[in-house]
Amino acid sequence: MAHRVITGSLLREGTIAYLRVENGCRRWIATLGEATHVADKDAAETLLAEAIADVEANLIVAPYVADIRVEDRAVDGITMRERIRAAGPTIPLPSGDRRRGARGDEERRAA
Amino acid sequence: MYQYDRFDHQMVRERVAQFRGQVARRLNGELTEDEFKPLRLRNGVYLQLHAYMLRVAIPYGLLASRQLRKLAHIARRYDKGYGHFSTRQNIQYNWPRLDEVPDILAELAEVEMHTIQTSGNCIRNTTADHLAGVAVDEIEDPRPYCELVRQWSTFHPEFNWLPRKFKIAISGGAQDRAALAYHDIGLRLVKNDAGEIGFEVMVGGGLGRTPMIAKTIREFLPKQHLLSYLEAILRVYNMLGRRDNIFKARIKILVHEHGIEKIRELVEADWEATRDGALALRDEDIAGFKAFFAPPPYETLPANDSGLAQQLESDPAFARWHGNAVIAHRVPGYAAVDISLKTGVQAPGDVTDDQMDAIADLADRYSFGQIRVNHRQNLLFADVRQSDLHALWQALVDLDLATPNNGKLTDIISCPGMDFCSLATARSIPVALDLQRRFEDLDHLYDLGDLTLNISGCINACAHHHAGNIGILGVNKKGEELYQLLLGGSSRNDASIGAITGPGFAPDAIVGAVEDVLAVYLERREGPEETFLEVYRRLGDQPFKERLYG
Repeated sequence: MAHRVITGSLLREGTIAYLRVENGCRRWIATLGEATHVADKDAAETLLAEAIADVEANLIVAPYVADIRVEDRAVDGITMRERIRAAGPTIPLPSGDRRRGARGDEERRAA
Repeated sequence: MYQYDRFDHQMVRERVAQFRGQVARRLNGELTEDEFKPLRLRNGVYLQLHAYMLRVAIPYGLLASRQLRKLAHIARRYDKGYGHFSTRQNIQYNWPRLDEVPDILAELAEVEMHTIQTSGNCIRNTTADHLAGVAVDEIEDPRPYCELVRQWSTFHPEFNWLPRKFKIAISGGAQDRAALAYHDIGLRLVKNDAGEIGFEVMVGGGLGRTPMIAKTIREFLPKQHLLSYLEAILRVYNMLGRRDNIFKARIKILVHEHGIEKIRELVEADWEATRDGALALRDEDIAGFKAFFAPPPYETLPANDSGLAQQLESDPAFARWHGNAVIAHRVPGYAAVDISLKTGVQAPGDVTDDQMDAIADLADRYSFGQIRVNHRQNLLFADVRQSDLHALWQALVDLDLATPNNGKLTDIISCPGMDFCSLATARSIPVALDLQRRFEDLDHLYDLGDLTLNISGCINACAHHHAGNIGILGVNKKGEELYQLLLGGSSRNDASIGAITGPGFAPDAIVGAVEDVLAVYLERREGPEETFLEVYRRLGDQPFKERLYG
């Protein structure tokens, strides 16, 4: 069944985020499966309007309504683009999905 | 290579400080995204599918080992441990945080690097023949002129907000290895009847949704007028280029709509008024730039190393790599070496932080501390002693960087595609990896001869799919991927635009379609020496279409 979620990119990190509304509080989370999803188009537009507040709060960039598919409680994007956004690149990254930060150079020197 | 002077250092440092302030103002809300976007783009920062992407300029593809180590360090510290070399001879990082980009820029500035001219509607990083200075067919080294163009174009106040981005490539070889015909301006160093060296100037080439081959606007331009003539072209484009429609804003459309004769008339008229002004280059100006690219201290060596001959005879795997990856050099006893980044395991053009460090070490040991990036997303050591080739090969084998597929079907140009790019309509990398696995048998690969295959994940054609002998274009059909096949493209002296064969293929059918095309080639060629492109041009597309679509 087609549902809708609100998604965008975190301003500071640039990573993908989905809107979750719980007890009237908005949170931006990384997992599509935990996002708040609605079936009704108008409800999705209402959610998006609420998300604009987080644009103005410098949390999120370019939020939009994305169509998703919900089957047997499993949630996934309908388009290939949204499926890749939700699951990450479909190819393995050359160094694995790692971010070593400042420790990386120390590790290399130790090696 | 070029060394920054105090003005360069100051300019780049000030740019870093300026962007640091802009990022801070964006994060605290003083700048909206609409206000910030053009500023970040001017510093090579895109917002892509999963994260920000940072594009770092590698002027004309030339890197010092200390710069490559810095790129490795940035990959390790600020990204996910790898970088992606692009067809514009630049490097891209796919996962930086916005709040860390100013620190990255500051680190780049330490080694005379930056992200200026990697995005936005300005004159982009000038590209060049990767064999500049060492090619046996070279008329003159293009790098001094690339650097001249870089200095002239960086922050040029008149051309900072052009109708659209503007790309220049320069080649000094008889054979075009820089895809000149597909640039807004292509400059080919040529010799006239009097024996003088100057430039053939081509204008209006490009790919994207409207691929066009550049037309010659001037057969011979004396070198001293290079900058004044470029300025005349840019001025005409800036005045007349269409700003009303982004899809018609490139200079190729202007040339197409007005005709090359009219554009030539306008450019020459402008140039006549300015040619002897401040931009006229004196011999000593050019000599000063040439000094930055003086040959390294070559040893006097025999033309053919005797030890190499023995190694080739006794080590078949080395001989196979040598026959493919080693390129003739103009200096006796030396060779250039292609380092394939098309391993079949990593995305074309990807290289890890540890590989970058190791390559930098090898460059110091075997190639005067310099590395080059070519527009086919590979690296190159330009100056290797023949006597060092075997040791270098062994080191590259250990790094998984000795795949001998230079110029072969698996030497695929691929854009990041929908795995990373927000503009893409289909994935490119998985198709490239599938093809590389299907054609990993080297005997079969070599039997197919020299053949280029380019894959783009959208109509913007970042991977030059129109210019591949075989091109693949990924498109979106009702939310799912479909791959169109193009045949007959070339980016060399015989530049031609590939033609679409017909309806597209599903992701699980595109590799088979390529196999069908190659089966026709193998059946219909007149001998192994007749290349795929020659067969296609001789037969036309009909036999290929019949096989593909019955």
